[in-house]
Amino acid sequence: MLLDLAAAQDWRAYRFVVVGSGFAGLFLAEKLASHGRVLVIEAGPLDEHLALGRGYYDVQSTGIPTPALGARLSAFGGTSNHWTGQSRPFSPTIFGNRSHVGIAGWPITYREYAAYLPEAQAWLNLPPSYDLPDRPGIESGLLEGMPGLTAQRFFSSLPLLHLGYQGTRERFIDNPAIDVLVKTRVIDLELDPGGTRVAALQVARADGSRHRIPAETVLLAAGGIENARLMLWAGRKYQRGNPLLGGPNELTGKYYSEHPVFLPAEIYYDHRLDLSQAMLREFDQQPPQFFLWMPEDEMLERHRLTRFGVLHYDQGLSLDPSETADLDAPYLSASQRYKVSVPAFKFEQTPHTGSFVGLSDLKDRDGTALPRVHWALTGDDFDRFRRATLLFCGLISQRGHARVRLRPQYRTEDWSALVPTLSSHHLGTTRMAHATAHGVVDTDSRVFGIANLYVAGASVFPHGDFLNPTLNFLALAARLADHLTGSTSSDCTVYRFGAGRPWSHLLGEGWSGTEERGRWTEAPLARITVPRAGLRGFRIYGTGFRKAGVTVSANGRQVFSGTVEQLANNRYPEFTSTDFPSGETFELVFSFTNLVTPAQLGESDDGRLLGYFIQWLEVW
Amino acid sequence: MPHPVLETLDPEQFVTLRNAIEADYATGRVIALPDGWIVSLTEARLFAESDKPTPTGRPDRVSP
Repeated sequence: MLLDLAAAQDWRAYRFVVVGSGFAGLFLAEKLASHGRVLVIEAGPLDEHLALGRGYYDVQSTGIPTPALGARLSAFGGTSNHWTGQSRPFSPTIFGNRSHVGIAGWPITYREYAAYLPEAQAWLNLPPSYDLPDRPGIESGLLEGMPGLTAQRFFSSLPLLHLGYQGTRERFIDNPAIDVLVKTRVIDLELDPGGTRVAALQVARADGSRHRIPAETVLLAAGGIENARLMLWAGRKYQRGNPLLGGPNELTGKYYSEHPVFLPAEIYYDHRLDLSQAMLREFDQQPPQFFLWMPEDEMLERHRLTRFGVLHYDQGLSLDPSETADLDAPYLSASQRYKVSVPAFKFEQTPHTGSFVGLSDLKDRDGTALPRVHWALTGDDFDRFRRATLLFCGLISQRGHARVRLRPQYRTEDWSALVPTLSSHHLGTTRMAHATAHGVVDTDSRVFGIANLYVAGASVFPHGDFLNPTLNFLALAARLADHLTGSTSSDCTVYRFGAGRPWSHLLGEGWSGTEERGRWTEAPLARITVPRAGLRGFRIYGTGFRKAGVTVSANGRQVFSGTVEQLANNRYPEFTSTDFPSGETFELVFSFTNLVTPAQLGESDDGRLLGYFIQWLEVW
Repeated sequence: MPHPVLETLDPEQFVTLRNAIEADYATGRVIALPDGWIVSLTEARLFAESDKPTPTGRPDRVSP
């Protein structure tokens, strides 16, 4: 039901608070509603779902121009209200390490993600399969004729799902376990004194009134820009490196990426293959399908390229006459024999910290900072885009079935001055990682170091393929919902150490060095004793003198032996087991060798030992 | 515009060069000419070694 914020509410009745009512938010709300009451908070109004979000979605753009940011809608249903439905699952390739382009892969496996695809596809009214049927005309004409290329389908849903439209939104609003606040904007997150849980949300109404909503479990699903902006704004009032800011490397907002789109080439298809007709027939299908060329992985690896696809929209010959004026007369006289297409090349961007969402100096009407969006591509990106274009043009030309001509602005070695079209798909600003040093949320989409704060949507993508994100982040949202309703979610406890932290007393023998955000060992043996029995697993975050040797034992069982450097490089060391000997407490013992002092290293006169620095410990 | 080089070759040479051209395309050995047309390195070399003009992209002149 729609709630009246002014009326007294029992906020404790809600097990889940979802920020944002777009695809991710409402999908989660519906899934979680069978496990507890859900409160959905939407900044925009219930109606006006076709109006572009203004005010709250103003941004300061400082990188590649991002004029289409206004295409994100601030209303019930979010941007689903003008969704065009183009969907395709991620390639398994992106989950693995692609050393040829310097992308490390995802912290979860393809299997963990793909297990939730059928549910997401069904929810979005997408077909259950993306496999190409046996269609001899296409198979023989395209695939056999173009080794190195694959022909794929890019589906659109039928009927298109617009969550805010009348006739659809009622399934959420009328759900007895879902309550909805509209025109209510979350302007801040309030952490508990230990800094390990979100205690409450601060919200603002258009009339200027402010309210505090205590929360048990919070799910941010406000979009790739707003998720990061809200965390950055909320995190600014806590110490540097806090989890809202993205941990020690303050990664919240970093790795912002998009799907750069270029229209670099005219493809003149030989009529004998009837390729254009084959493509156009796809549009007669229900649901509508788009024809997509993709190079095989082997080609991408050999040429050290990120993934890309070439999408043929139904545009036919749409060239400016000035662009064809210099074609020789004999060619033009034969033009009836060719189909000309200017397809969209959709590229995967390499994630990097120089592309980010931050806080602007400009303020919105609630006094919070507008987001600063700094979209940046690297020189390597542009070089890959150009080389990928030439590779594709060669593949499409190899049997003489087509000739390809670059459009005038692309006839240069250096593409870095070209401005790509963006897709308004905001990816990667709260990226998923094994370790807080590399990302903002863990493999359960939970913010590192905060026990009850989760993020949904494309902002958790470590990198995003070249594909539209909706289907893919809904699969992850389905996985998140299963995690939240499973047996592990409420069992996880985060112990953070350092000055002012309530848990430093758990650090016993050997932990004498204090720092603002953690504790140092200065002894060859250091213990952590946690009042926790029946433990199934734990993670630690720490670093230290990298050449020191360290052995870690958990309740008497050795779980790690190596150097501090190996431990630190092990992303976010996670140890799971069902056979840690259980007792009243859980004890971790760190045994060190090869400890030195700064004086021995010649770095200072400091005689203290350099051991290990631990910032937090999670157990479940 | 006729292919300025290939059509002057004898059949055996034609097949050899056609295969080389296809292999170039299949492995990404291509360049963009100043007028935008993308050709294989073999084609580009043929044109450079001849005094003939470059092609404008008639597919049927590359593959018989």
